[in-house]
Amino acid sequence: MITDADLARMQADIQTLIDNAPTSIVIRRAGTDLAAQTVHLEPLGAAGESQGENARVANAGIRIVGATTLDIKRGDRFYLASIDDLITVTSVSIDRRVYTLAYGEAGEGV
Amino acid sequence: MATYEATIKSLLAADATLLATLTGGVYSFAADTKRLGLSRTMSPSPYLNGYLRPCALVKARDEVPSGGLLDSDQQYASIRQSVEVWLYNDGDAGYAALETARNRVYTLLQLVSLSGGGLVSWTNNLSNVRDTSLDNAAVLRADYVVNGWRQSS
Repeated sequence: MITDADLARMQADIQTLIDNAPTSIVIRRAGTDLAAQTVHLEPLGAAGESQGENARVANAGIRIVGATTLDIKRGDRFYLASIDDLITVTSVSIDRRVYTLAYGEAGEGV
Repeated sequence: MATYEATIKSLLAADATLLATLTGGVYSFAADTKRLGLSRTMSPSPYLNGYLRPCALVKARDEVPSGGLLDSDQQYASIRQSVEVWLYNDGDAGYAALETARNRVYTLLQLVSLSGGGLVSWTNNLSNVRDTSLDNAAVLRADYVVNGWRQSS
């Protein structure tokens, strides 16, 4: 049986992961920017490309790890200046007792 | 005379009223986009801080002989050429700015004689479109036909 103390230890471990490689993101939701939040980002392998009418885009996946209090929803977007790309949040995990796990995709033309 | 895409792009890009709405700029598909199309690699860029701004992409389809003029000496032939004006904006921004821009484009192009020849007339609108390749960008389109001519180069 996982105790509250167990959860606290696991949350602390996740926070160490985030602190080791933090990225500050500003989520834009329905046209409004939220306050900056700190997360840990991980790539999800090679990107595939697809062709639209007037753009060729890469669909790279990103794993987003944050604290249990991370304010994030499917459809949120945030800009990563380091790679000059916009990330769209595609899903958020159900179990958020230890951390918040979300997935995003570089969803626009590169 | 078959660079109507470039001519129309230049005409639109010179209009301060239109550019006040299309802060992301006006582009020619052939001249201003490369392998990745509408993208952040363009300079100038339709993007600002990662988000797509309202912008226009002028894209001409192929010339079609219209049969009105044929001259064997100069190899003149009258042609019709469809030119599409694609209007894009960030997916969360809606269509209001694009509607304003499309109305201005109509004012600038409808029944206008282009420099060098060619009469422009509006043929069709396409509304309430989303481009999934651009994160569901809001898209409108206005189609025009240019009645012009070509000759041997």
